Amino acid sequence: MPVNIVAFCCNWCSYAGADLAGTSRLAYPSQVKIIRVPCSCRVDEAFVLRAFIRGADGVIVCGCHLGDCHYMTGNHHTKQRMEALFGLLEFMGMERERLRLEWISASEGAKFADTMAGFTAQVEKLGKNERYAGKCFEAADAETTNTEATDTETADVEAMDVEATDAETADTETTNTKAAEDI
Amino acid sequence: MSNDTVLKMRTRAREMLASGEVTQVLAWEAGEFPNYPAPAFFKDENACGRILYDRFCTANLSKFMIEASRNEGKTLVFLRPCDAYSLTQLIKENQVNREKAYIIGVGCEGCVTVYEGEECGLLESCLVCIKTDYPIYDELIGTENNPRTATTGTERFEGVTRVEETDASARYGFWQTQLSRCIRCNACRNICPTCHCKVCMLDKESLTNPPNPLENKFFHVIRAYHQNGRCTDCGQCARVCPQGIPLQLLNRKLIKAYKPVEVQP
Ligand code: SF4
Ligand code: SF4
Repeated sequence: MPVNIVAFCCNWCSYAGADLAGTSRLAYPSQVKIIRVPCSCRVDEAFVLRAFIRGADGVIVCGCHLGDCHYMTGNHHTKQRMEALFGLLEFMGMERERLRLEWISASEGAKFADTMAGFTAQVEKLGKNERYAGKCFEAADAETTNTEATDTETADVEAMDVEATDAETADTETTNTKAAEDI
Repeated sequence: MSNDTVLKMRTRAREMLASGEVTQVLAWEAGEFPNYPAPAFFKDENACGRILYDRFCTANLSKFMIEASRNEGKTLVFLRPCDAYSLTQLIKENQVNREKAYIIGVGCEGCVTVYEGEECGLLESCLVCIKTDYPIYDELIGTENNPRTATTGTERFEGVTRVEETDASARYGFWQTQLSRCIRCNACRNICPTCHCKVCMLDKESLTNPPNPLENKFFHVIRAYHQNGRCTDCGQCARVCPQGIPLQLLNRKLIKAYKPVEVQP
């Protein structure tokens, strides 16, 4: 089962970088779902947590290089916040490899594609996010019982699908606006 | 706490109310149950005899100053070192008007925990407390010998280090057992001096009902994370938790790793 990656990309650099990757026909893994934010500092901790609750296996936050922020200081705040948040999540038992903060400029299409490929591979090595996934809505403490077989896994998919059709969820593309209202 | 301190506190409260320098006094009085003193406002100088201060006075009075500084006139408040740190933070965040507060620093010997009305040892936060000074005060009473249990600033991070040293799945298991006990009573939020927003994202209904282990975990991530750089490690959250969840570990993890925003010109 492929892993889901949510990438928060800032409008001015990383999103443009993704665009450049597209126009230069550089392939990056299709599981990467990009959510555009005005600035990387728009990403608050609830966005990251929400992504995990809704079934993401890895979250990457991308912004302009330090000093290049369109709003002058936005990404400095991102750096401080995300480092604290990632540290806290790691402290609470999430694998650090599922979280990444990366600076990608508008001219770095190739870096964007490489980063996404690298990050996806890194998360794939860890597999699905069992500990902090959306299925916890259905079954608490599933960790110990959930070691074998595909049928539990399909059940999880169904559980997640039900959630995805849930009126308030909408699909991943619109999560950028939704997440703000939702949480 | 020497009896002397309490008598001095009462006298000062009476004097200041009588002279009209302050309109109210914020202190502790005997609560409903023995050994559970409660914070109280005194507006009448004759009531000041009820003011109480002993090692059972665990409540941090600084949060009540948010409310009090919105009233007319000054408030006299008694603060221990850790409470004074909380109040400083509140003044910094423009929640408390310094002009409206008359602060008397009172000596502290550490607070004790109470179990079924009986004393049972120092509070965890007092065991590792290093706050001997008063960052803010107008006057001091009985602070000559504030004994301190902890000697270095690093002792309080021992618990954090111990958890950090285990591997990811052990940490996950640890927090799973701890946090799945949370009943989402919100006591930790209500008591926290720096947790004072009128509208909170955690009040969203979909987040509060029904509590499940995952959401509890994210509730705690958000609660602790919102205190990042603001928590004064007063230990109130861990003290009030009816389920005995070691919330100070989360706060201290953030304090330990705290780096201010570095903005390069
Ligand atoms: S989070 Fe806990 S220790 Fe920190 S200021 Fe709030 S009540 Fe005190
Ligand atoms: S005080 Fe304890 S039980 Fe209540 S919400 Fe906070 S952590 Fe949960």
